[in-house]
Amino acid sequence: MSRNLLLALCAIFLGGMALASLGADWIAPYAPQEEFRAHPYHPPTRIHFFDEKNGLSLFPFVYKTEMTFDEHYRRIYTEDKSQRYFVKFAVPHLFNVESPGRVYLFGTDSRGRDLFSRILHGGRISLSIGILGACFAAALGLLIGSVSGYFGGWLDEVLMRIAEFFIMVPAFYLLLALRSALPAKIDPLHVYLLTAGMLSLVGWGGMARVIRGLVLSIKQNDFIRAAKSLGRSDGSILAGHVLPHTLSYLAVVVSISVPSYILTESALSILGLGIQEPYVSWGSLLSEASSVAHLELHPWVLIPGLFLIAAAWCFNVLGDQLKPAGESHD
Amino acid sequence: MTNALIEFRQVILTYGKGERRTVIGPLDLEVFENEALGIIGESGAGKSTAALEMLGLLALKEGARVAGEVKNRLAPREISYIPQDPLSALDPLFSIGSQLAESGAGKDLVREALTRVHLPLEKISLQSYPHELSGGMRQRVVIAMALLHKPRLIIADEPTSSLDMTLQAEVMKLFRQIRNTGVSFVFITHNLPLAANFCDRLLVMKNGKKIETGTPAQIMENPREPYTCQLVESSPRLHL
Repeated sequence: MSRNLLLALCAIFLGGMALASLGADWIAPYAPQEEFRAHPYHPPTRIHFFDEKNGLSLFPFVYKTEMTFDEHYRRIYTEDKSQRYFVKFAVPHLFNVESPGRVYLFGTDSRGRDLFSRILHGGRISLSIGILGACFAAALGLLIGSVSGYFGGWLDEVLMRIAEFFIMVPAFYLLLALRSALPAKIDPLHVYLLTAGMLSLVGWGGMARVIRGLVLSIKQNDFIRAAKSLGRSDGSILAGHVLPHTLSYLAVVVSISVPSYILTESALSILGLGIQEPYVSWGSLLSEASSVAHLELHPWVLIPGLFLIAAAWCFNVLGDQLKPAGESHD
Repeated sequence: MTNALIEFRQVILTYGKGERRTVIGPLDLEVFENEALGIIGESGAGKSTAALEMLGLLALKEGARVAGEVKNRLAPREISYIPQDPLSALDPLFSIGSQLAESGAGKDLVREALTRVHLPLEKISLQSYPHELSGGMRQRVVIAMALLHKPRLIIADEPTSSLDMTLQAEVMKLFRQIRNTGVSFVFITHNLPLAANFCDRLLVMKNGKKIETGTPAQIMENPREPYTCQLVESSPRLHL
């Protein structure tokens, strides 16, 4: 596969996923919290175009399903073929079927919530938290690294020892410690911001060190001396002539660190320490998949993981592509 | 030659942690009004460090410590600095125009400075970026920058060493024109003939210390110190 095709596919996937998440209220057939108690762990609904009575149909339709148990108490869903329920498009959702017919594209979870709808809504958090976390970390790293590199001396020593502490401590344990230091019950929306904040708090150290190195080399340039001899203040030289030279590095480092932030958030959420109900992220959806028994009986609960892997991989490919663009004119 | 614009009295500069390395001194020197002082010496002799100290920019370098007395009778804007490498003297991310305007000089001052370096606005676009200019144009823009605030003293640190011979001649011609308007120069170079040609007085430095000072004629014809003899002998000469 050619490089450009791969890039285009990644960009289309991420862009499409972002749009779908933003439009989740309309695209998803059900609300993410809507529970169909009669349908726990419903497998992905089969969509039909053909039945024996009426032959081929131009429009897709589904059958109503009934849950029964087999002799091992495993759930079995059987289709009631007496009535067809046609899939309706564009009103009031992108697609929908008349009740009591249901369309679960990716099946349902333990409480009968439609996984497809939840994945779309979860994309809002999973995609944005990585970018947000990476941007927070970059801002923190930029601020501390540039001050440290530009002013040097004892300030440099102190800031860099702090940065090294954050680099040295294993990130995941630091996250767990940070989370446990916070109250257990927080408004779910605050949890979102706090999670992004915590992710950036464990990630800024490395960025700060590199930015410091860049600033050390940039400030050796004669144009810094020239600006200084013109009487410009340190702050304005830093903002005007030093920081612009670090931007290409920052763009690259933000884009290649997004996947790790996405994955760390999902790791926290799988443990129940990240995003909480009523909000969902791909990580919190995957917490359903944490037992082998579920994976064997209801493998579709792993689908959010596929989205997670795809998104992380696409961000990686795009970030890699930025690298040569960020390097100078060669 | 009247009063000194800049005076160094027993100036000592050291670098480093623990055992500090002395890079300059003790050094006495003065730069007089309306004079071109050439500072000559090999790489590492402390010429550029002395220049940075004159500009008051040594704080940028870590660990510098100054002993002795530096008298500077000029306001910061009355001294200009022309660094060695014009590419590094201009920020590659900004257009020429915005860099010239950065010092707070108005449009008229910018135009005047550019005209003085023979780059009228018809010849150069203020929107162009440093890498789009030829080497000679770049160096002239840097000189124009130094001229913006009508300085009384220009400190030029190896301004020609990264240029080819024709550009060197062009820049030196420009310096002479500026010099004729009454601007003082500190001209730092390891090129003895170039300095002897341009300067009123030469100061030879080695290992951070002053070896000898005198007019170009004295230094070239009658060097007193062995190191100066060596410098004079090693500089290229035409035997016609």
